[in-house]
Amino acid sequence: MNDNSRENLRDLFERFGDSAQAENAVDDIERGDELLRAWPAPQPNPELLSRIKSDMLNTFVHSGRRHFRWFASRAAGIAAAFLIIASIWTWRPLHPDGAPGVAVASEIIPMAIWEGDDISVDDLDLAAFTTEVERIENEMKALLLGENGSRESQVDQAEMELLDIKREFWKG
Amino acid sequence: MTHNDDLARIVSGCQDGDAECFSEIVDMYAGRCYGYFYRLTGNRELSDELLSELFVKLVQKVKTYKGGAFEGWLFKIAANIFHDHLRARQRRMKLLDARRRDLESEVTEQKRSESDRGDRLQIQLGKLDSETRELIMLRFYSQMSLKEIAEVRSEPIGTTLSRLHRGLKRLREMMGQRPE
Repeated sequence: MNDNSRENLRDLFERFGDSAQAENAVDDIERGDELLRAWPAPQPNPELLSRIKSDMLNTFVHSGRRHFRWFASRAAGIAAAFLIIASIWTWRPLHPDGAPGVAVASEIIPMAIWEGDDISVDDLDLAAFTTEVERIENEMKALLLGENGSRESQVDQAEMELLDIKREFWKG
Repeated sequence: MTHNDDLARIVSGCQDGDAECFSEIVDMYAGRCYGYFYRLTGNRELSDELLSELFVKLVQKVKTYKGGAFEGWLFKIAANIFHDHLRARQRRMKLLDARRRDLESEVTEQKRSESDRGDRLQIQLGKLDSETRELIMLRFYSQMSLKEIAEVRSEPIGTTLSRLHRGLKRLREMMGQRPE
């Protein structure tokens, strides 16, 4: 059975003793090999081999998935880092002379508007709109009470004016 | 196609995840590897586990195989798996000292059941020291050259030769074969 190791046994033993000793040692080893061949070990059963083959395939598939997940997570991490760096670079405020400036945090709607009780004080546009609405309301009341002449047409005109103001306001 | 060409094709197929090549490599080496594990452990169930672990490891490591003697590469993994098993068993024995006697009695029963099957060789192998037993089995089942075995075991070739010679001679004596 041991064809590979038999080739130079004699040469190897002759390095450590005379040729007679080497001859005896090789003979002992060959007889030992014969003994092992005479008592063969049991063989694995076919069910075990089938299971092993299936396990090997599963292991290969899972290791491929793991490799893909590892690669995908690394790629996503690198992309995210790149985006963060790029956005910081792009949005970094600069002074007119090109020197880096100080970043100023701001909010779209000032917190004071949400917290304040008087909305007209908090926002100039809202204040102007509120004033205009109040003026028109007063005019409407006056018209309805007949304080001015040609009541019908003036009411229509006031309504049209109110609509225009509303439209203009939301256009900004 | 020569054996080496055929083996190279199968190993390459395994590296690509070819199911047919996995099957072929198992058919080629399962018997020898199983014999190696069985002769070292004397336990069929344990040999089943170690053999399964070996081929799973083969799949995980086959891409690192860069040519050379495939048997040497495979049996190096097998030897490592066996040593891992021994280390794990030693740890368990330390941790579960209270259960030691139970385990020993199980091993004794195991040996007795093997004895009942009439495998005298297994019984006599158990009387050799573990280093010698492992060397004899590695050489017999892996078919590696003694030079390769000495490299795997990280010992001078003179030590390997001497231990092999004494071990096989002693085994023959224990088996009732008188030296002529």
